[in-house]
Amino acid sequence: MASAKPHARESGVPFTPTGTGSPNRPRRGLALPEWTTAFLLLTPVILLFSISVIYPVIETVRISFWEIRGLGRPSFVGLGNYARLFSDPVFLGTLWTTLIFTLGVTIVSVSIGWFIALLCAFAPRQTSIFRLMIFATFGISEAVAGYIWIGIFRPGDAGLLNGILTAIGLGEFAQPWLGGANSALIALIVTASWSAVGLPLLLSFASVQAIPRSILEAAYMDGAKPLTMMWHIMVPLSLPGARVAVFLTLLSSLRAFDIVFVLTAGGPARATETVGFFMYRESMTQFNLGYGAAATIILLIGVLLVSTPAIAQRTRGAK
Amino acid sequence: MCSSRISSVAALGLGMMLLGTTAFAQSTKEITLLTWLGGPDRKVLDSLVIGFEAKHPNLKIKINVVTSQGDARGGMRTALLGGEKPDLLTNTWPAFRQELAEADILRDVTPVWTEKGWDKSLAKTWRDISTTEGSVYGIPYIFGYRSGIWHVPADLTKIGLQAFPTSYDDFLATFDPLRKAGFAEPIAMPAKVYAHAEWFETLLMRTGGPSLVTDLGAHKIAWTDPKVVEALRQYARLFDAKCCGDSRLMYATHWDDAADRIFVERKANFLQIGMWINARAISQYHLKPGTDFALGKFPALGRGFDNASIIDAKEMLATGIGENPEGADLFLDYILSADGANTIAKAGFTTPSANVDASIYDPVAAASVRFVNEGDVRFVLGDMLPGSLVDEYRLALQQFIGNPTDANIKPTLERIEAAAGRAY
Repeated sequence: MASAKPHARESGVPFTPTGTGSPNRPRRGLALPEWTTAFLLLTPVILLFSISVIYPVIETVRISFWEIRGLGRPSFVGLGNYARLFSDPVFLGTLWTTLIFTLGVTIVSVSIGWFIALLCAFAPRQTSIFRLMIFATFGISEAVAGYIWIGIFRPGDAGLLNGILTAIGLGEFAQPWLGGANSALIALIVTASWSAVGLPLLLSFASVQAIPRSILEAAYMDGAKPLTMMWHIMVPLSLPGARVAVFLTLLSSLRAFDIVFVLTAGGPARATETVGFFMYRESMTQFNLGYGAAATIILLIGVLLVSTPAIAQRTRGAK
Repeated sequence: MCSSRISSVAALGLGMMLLGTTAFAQSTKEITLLTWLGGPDRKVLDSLVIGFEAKHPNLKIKINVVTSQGDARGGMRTALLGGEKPDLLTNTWPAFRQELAEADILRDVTPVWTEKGWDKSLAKTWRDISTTEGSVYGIPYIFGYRSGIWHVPADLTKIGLQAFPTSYDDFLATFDPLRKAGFAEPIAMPAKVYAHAEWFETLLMRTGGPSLVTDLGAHKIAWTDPKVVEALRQYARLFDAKCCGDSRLMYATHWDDAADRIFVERKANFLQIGMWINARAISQYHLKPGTDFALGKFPALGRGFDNASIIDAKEMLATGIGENPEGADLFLDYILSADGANTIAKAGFTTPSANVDASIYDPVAAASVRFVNEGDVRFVLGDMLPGSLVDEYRLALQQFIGNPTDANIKPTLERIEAAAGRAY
């Protein structure tokens, strides 16, 4: 017994999925302008961002105009904390230390990470464990890295580095690495670079992997040697990854605190005190909240100065 | 009918429950204690609480712990500013006690002290160091002797000494023979953060006595006072006598490195630091107290203050913002009682309470208590000074040991005095 009703397709009536309108007809419902929709979709993020970032920043700015010492009554000082900061030789010293530390860590970690990435690109599969091991250092917290390196830099024979130097007959170079102003800063840069090198490696390696194989094959066919290929093809084409690595390492080094706290505690004689550590010392140890907040704002401005051009460059051309 | 019976039973049950809750609420009152202490310090608090609650079943102590890294005052301040209203709080800095008192957080327990007769449990000197601007806000319950010098008795035997030197001159005279006996440096001076100041502070006490330390802590005298100058000159004598390694070694050395250098590497002989070395030497180095390692009393200068000691102490402060001041006072009283004091001693700590059974202490802890009981006590200066001055004071001393000359004494003290001028 055949059905009396023909199938919709057979009948020439357009197929209509249950409960929805025809695909050929405009859908009914609330039609919002594109900007409104975008704003509505972003609202949860904006709310979260406001609570967790904007509000604390505004509050920090507000506190920076007050003198708050311990549990005492706060007094309004306007821009007094900022004026005091820029005439405080200790703070000016930490700015200089932060600059050296930031440049040092960025140059060392990005150069090493990028170079290893280029080398690994010649044999990606064989070097995967090696890359994983280096990247793992990035997963270790800076505080833990600090404790690991304290053992390496310990004074006397108890320190691993001094022990190795003595064992290989270079005992005259053994020294209390964290005891000298310069050697402590270098030790700090080495430790932070060790901790940070995984990220540049990962980003640069991803950039190198993205280079079209045809380009490398063509260069090889033209008789280019590995070093020439590395210098003339891989380096320029992996530059975007390295640039992101520079940007991210700069930002994290500018804010350095944990590693300084654990490894040198800012010493000897404040030789390794960064702005991040100064901020902590003023706010949490001495509880000069207003003064510490002013230092925080200066650091924030520094971070913005570094990050704005990079963000602008990354988002150029985006709608 | 059945339904009505069920309703009656339910109503009766609910009534009983409510009655029970009310009765319970009436019978147990909560005492809130705010602390940052963890590890063994926290364990001793827990033991005290258990003992107290067993004795006072109608009272319950709730411990709120502030997690903090480094200087715990930051965390404590944040908690109090954030609305915590404890009945009691732990403290170890007289400067912080003053700050809390000025913020009207503390409660003067002077009447309670008299009423409960705490003078029988605590010597006058303990009351003195617990007093801020004439008021007493709590009691010290644990102390650590900070004028002791850790050493290995066998090192002294090696240079022909049967006992720890008693005079400062004799002490300095051991440096040369110890070096000749093969030790790299007699004193392991940990100048990485703060421990280099310990030697100076006891010399300050030996030079000018407890009143000098108190007055300097309150900035009633200047850092350039002749007695302070003399103390720093005595400090410089350590370096003149070649006590230590070079300044870079001192700057790279924290107290744990220094302890390792004496007890593990066997390269150094003397370390002045708190009583926590006792636990470290026993548990980590597996040494026998009194035999493998010992605590010597800081040698005498002969100025009349050779029995006075620098100490650190944990104190329990009463607040005026909590809801159960009577309960808080009962807990303070329990801490000082024989039960409380013995609980502290059994946990490996020394207590200022006279009610303690001293036989519980190991030989080293017992020696420290004996030294402390010989005279007046004062807190380490680092705990007495305002936070902003402590850093500058330690830093100035740190730089002084890089150039410990007579010519550098005045500039060093002037620098601390300038910082003091800003800090008070």
